[in-house]
Amino acid sequence: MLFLQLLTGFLILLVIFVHQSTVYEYARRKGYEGIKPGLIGLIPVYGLIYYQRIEKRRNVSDRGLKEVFKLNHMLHRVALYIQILIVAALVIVPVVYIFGLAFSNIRSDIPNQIWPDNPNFEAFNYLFTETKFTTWYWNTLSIALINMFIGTVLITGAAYVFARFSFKGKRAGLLGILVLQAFPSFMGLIAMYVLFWRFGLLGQPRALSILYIGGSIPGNLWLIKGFLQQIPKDLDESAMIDGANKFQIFWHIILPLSVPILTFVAVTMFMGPWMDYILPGYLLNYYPQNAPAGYDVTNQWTLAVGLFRFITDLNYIHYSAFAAGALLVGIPITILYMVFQRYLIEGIMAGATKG
Amino acid sequence: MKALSTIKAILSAFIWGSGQALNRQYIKALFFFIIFVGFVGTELLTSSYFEETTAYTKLVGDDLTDTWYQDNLYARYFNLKNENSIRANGFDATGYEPFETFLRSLNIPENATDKETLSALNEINMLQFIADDLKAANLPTVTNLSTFDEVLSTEFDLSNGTLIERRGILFVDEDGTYYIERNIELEDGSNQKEFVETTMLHGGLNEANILLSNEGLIRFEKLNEIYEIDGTFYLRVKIDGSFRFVNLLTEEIISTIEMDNNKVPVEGPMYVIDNTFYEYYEAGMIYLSQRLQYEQTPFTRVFRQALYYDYSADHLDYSNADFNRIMVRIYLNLNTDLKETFESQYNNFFYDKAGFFIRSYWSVGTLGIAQKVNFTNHMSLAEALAGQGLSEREFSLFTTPGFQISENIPIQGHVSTMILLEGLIGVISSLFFFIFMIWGIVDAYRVSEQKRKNEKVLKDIDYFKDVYESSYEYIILSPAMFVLAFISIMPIVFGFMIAFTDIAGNESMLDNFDYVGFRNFIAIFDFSSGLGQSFGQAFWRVLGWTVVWAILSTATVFFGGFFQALILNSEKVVFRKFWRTLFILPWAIPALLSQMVFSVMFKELGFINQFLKDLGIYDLLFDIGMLGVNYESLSGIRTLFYLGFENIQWFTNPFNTTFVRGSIILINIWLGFPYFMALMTGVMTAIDKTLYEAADIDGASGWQKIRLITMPLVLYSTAPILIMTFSGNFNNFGVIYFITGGGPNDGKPSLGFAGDTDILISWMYKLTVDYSIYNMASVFSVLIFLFVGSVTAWNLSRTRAFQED
Repeated sequence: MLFLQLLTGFLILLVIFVHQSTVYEYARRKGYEGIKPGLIGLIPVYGLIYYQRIEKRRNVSDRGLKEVFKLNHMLHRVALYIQILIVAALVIVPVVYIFGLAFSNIRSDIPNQIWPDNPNFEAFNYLFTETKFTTWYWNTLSIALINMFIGTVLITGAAYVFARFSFKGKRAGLLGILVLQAFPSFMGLIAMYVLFWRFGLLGQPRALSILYIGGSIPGNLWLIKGFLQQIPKDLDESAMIDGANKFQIFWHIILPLSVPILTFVAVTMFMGPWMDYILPGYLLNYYPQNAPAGYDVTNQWTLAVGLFRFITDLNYIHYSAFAAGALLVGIPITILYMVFQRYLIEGIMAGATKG
Repeated sequence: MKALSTIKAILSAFIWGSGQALNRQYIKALFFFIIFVGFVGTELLTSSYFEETTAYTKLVGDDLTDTWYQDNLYARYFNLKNENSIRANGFDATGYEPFETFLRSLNIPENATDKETLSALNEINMLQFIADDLKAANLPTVTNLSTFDEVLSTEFDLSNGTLIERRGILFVDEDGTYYIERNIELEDGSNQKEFVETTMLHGGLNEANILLSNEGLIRFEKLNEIYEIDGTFYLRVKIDGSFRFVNLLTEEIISTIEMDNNKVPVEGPMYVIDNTFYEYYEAGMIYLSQRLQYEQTPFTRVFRQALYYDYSADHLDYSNADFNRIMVRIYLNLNTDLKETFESQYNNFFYDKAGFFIRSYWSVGTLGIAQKVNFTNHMSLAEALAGQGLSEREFSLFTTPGFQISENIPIQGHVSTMILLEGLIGVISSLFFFIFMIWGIVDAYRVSEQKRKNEKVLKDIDYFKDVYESSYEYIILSPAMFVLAFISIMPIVFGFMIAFTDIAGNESMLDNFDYVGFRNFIAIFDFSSGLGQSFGQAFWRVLGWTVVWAILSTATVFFGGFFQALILNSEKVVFRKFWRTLFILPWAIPALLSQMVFSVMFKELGFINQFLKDLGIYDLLFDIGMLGVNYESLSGIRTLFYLGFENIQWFTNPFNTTFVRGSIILINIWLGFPYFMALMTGVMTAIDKTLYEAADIDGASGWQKIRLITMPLVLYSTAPILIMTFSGNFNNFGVIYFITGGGPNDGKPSLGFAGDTDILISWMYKLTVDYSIYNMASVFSVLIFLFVGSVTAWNLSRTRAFQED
């Protein structure tokens, strides 16, 4: 029975990890630290024996060593690992599921298996031959790149001015931006539609980047401004004495010092369009007035729209293609986030505290 | 004198730079004046103040021009007059009397041919004449169908006649009772058919006799064909598939009559008075889905003849659009009310004449005035102006190649969304110019005062050097400000204004709509109004859930993260970094993707339910009655544990809202806890270890250490994030839209289209994109702004960065 199988598996893992934890602590008390005791602890029974035989590196009493095996310590361990293993399972299952879905070939039946009986690459094949997946990828990528380069330059310039100079209207400008930030971005959606309609931009993916840039100015401007203000003003002044003009000061002094925050802003500007659905879902679904009969609206889409249509729109439904596409988009982003997690989390923190 | 400075300042407001000129700063004056010229020039160049504009430019096609009427139409008339054939033309050598009268009224002598004297025969006059001529010849008439005597309807009283309904489908039962089908709307909004007793020929309903089905009734179809045989009138009908004839007086049904040559041509409504049948005919009226045509006059025949030769000739470039245009213009001349509205709406001073800036202010203020129109009634002129059938002898234009008349001639009207958008762009652009105006005014006043007090005045050149020095900031700022003005501010103002209009419905984007004041806002509080009943109540329901959702989802994620960080912080856990990296995975995976994956996993027949089934949990749930029971049979607390009937309905359970909402909050923990976990791990490792050691010495328990040391420190450093997460969750579009799609009871008009799990933002998105209820969506976003905006502003105003400036 499945329930018993799962329970057995769970118990085995629990025993392994509790054993590991015990061995690790035992070894630590004996004076062994680092990865090695942890790895050896993963080998049941042997690990414990290994460290029982090994010499003490530290002066520790036998009582102190035996404390490791006391009941309340063991219970503590068991409780901790029960929680950890359950959470780990919950975290991993959806990930495994999406891999499983991607390697099966399910079009419209609702997928209810975690792993297909005969994995295959049909979904990827479908994605690249039958759909406009590459177009979506390119649309999204180009929006993201435009957004990142133009947006970052624009915002950095404005933030530098706000951080360093005093001029007429500065306070009003800052207040205005603060107020703007408080408006739900949603409020302008209808106007954005009409604006695009008026200037014939509906259904043109790259035009969206101007909206993203506009939307990201207030928040990021505050972020960069906050960072720049921490750079001592003496640097500017000494450069000014040496005859540098305002642009040179910015280029040679401020810019190199603000690389971390600029990187963070650039990355967030780059990431924004990948996972936004609200704007492309509304603006990139446009049939021109005199569109020919077989007009292919999917050419306008971005990844978010395309993937969502795979699981909701009966005309395009294909669960496995969704999963395959999600993997192709998700894996690079996930790796990027995993690698830069420390900076990103700190950056968000900075955004909240420094304003 | 101070007054002098004030006068200079005021002058500079009217003509920018004039104050500076009076201050004898000519370069500066020139600078302001050039900007002034730019401002006024833009206004003038984009306007048509000095041009004649007419409403008719909105009609496609070209006019025939005045010379056409003089050289072609009048010349043709003149020739025909000389032909002197009353049989062919309808008039003899004395001419067509109404037209001759018309010529006399224009002081054109008889038989005039030279251009000078004919100049009064311009297009406007001619079109008016044609309309008047048609109207005079087509007064409403009543015709006796036995004798074909025709009298004007003003001279004949039809009011005590009985209308004969000669077309339509009835149902008849065995007793000869007739029923007519009609649709009624039931209380729940669905439609139903019912059958009401009526009479065979004279309409009328007997509400006392209504059948719910037409079973056993015979179909009785009246075919709108009247025959007369020896003074008796018959209507052709089709009873149960076979053709019969009904005597219109006795209602007797006979099987056959001699049809040939006995058909009576009747188009207008037919009445019977004292056993005599009459037809009422009024040109332009629509009866039995047929448009009663204007009859031609001798003059329209001439007109047609003149056009006929031009349309037949290949080298003359007359298009169908030109002809449609003539028809609409004559039609408007026939209906003066329509004409006046048309001319006033479509030749509006502000819309059609004013330049960019003035038009913008007008647009924002009024949203445009011209309603969309679609001309169809011009088709009643088709026979008179274009001819009947394909008769070449009658100069039917339909015989010329490619000739066609459009049955619909739509005119767009003022599209309010466009007008508002263009208006706002204009207003914002004008503000940029006004900055210069104010600068000029202030400068004129200040310099004048300095001069009066004999203070040192900067020379023009030095002044501009200064300005250049300090304008560096503005130059760098300008692109960002430009984008902000038109991409952020303009749309927000637009959304704000939309909230005060009645724009709603599929076509409303293309329509003209109006301001309605605070009606939409009042509807939120007034549940008795139509809007209030659906959207007002829905708003409070959705708002309530949004707040609950924002609080619960933030709290669960916060404490979930805290708890997990504590656990992973325990020294008993080996390879903490590995576990942390694993647990941060949900944060690193793009939320949109995991949300979509969840929506697939939690489908009714999806993986989760299948897994629970395989585990045997389903059996358990069936046993304790959380599944497999009818909701109606449950009561009290057990309704809260209703999960579904056959399967667990995670997001589709229409009865147990609490369960659905609970599920979404639980799923959100998966998405949200890792971020807080990572954040708090960082904070926890930074906590000074000596604090714990001191606590150990004081004999504190583990729980006390957490509660009194860890928790306050963590909370302190993550509080700003907490507020951010709260407002983020308040607007967490993705979780709701992608996972539940709104949840059960979604898309019902009576519930304001809001599903059970819809939060404000997802609801508004659906209102905008799927249901086109733009005004209410905007109202809600204004309210959200008031709510979230005040929280954010409060949060930010406390930050260091803002207080520094």
